[in-house]
Amino acid sequence: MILEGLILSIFLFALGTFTFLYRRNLILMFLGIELMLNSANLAFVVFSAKNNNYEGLLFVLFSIGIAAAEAAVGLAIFISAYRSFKSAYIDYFKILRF
Amino acid sequence: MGELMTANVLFYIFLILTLLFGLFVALFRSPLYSLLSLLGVVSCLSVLFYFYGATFISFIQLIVYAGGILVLFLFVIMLLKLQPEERGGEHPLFKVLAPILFFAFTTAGISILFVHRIKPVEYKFYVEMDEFSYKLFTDYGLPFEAITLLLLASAVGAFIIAKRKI
Amino acid sequence: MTALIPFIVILIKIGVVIGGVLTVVAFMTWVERRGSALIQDRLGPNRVGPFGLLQPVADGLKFLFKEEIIPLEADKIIYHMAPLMIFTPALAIFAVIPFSTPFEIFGLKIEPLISDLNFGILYIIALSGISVYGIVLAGFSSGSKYPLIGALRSSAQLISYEIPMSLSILSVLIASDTFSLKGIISAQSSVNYGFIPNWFVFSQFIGFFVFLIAMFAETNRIPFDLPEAEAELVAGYHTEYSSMKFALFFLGEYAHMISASALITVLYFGGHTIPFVNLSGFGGAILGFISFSLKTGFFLWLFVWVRWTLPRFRYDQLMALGWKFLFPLSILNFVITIFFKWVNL
Repeated sequence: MILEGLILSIFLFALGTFTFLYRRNLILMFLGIELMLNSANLAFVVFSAKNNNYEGLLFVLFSIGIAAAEAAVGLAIFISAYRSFKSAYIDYFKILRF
Repeated sequence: MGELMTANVLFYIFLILTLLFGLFVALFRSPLYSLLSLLGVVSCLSVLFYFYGATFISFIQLIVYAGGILVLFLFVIMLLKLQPEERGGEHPLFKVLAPILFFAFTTAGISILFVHRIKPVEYKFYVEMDEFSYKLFTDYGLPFEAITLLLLASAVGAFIIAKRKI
Repeated sequence: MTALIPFIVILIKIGVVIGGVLTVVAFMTWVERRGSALIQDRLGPNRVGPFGLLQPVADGLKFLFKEEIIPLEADKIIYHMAPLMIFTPALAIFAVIPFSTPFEIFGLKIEPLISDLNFGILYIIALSGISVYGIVLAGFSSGSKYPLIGALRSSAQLISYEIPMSLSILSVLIASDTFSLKGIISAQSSVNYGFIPNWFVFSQFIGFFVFLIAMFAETNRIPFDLPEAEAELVAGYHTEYSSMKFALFFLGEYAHMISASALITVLYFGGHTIPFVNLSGFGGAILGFISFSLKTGFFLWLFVWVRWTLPRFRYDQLMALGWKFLFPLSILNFVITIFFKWVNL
């Protein structure tokens, strides 16, 4: 059960990275980030189960809290960007570089 | 014995389901379908957490992730009527780099697992709720308070950023 | 063979609970129509069967034979999935609700609840959080504007009222020292001062008040039925649904109502317990079930009663009530509960 959980966690993290890099739609990139956070949660839970130590679960709690804060701010930024660029694609946000 | 076997079979079913939903998150071009697949990942993961003995965390995952965070995403997708991403036009560098990184991560991770020989163990793992919360409010009191402050700040910040006129 | 018996018992329990809930749903549609007629001084449906009792059957047959119309603009997969996503959580809540005391039959000790989950309350909060999806997806996938507005209103309302609801549930948890519904019921089984039953409706009356109002909002009933305000939005998020899919929305709404009533009974009225009566054995189980059904039935009738008595809120009034009145009130109740727990009263 331990090994399978860790392998799943690795796959989910890699899929999240793939989504984040490959997509240009900001919402899809956010979903990739959420997937990565979830895989980290899974790794925390699996390791705390392996070591029979519940302190890892506390970190899952913190990670979920951070994910909530990140989603709120990220989506607010997305909405205000969508309002000024009229598009969800990050190609249009290039002007922010200058 | 029978109960244990059913639990094992269910565990593997949910493991595979999680992997499938994760693939769908990466492969769907439509934000709505991708989001629903992520909902599947989150719910299946909460079931897996239950199998790992982290009962409380599994419900928190369901309540906060599925009931809070993903609903926010759904609202944004619904309000802005986001269309599926069209084919082509990917960044030329990342179009190559993303699959390479995917394979690099998976092979590296799995090979590290096998090098370190993490042994499959049988365990009976159950978290006592009072111990857990005692730890949360004593040893981890500072991070806990920091998280609450972070949530407050992010709520105010999100409000100010997204509002048209302050 | 003996290893299979627990599975069979569980399957039978699930069958009985689902069948029972669906029967009560059918009966409730009849009660709603007859009750509205009673309140408005009309007769109501009285043609099919004695007192019109077979009206739900006729309605069901009618729904089955209606033509199913799928809008051209609809997102087909999600459009078909949404009714199930409303109906399933509404039914799944009954998995943790204890209906009576344990009893013995054919030498088997049977617990009249499907699963005694340690975190039963969290399970219920999680399911009520998930039931938002069905409504939002139904409104969004129809590809029409009235369902979209209805879905937006409904989800904003559900999320707003979930906070006071969860906070009042939290106060109950603190008062009873447990997450499991069975524990909450057994914490209410004693009697205070010789004559007041130790139900949380007495010690947590602010919480009960908040929870009741939040439950009306969570089930989308009048006075909070803005998502389906007929005069403004045709029918809200299920405008574009027809035939059996519409019936599923209908069933889901009523199942939600029944689960809300059962939850109020369990959390604030002592579930199946009867003050001064010690329930045990087969007879006790039946007595407990009757007590549980009477309490739940009263709240079901309250839902009908309020629906045909009160007018509808305006949307800003709804939000103001939720955020400016119920939210501080539930926090106040929470603080009071903690204080009394702290001084050990």
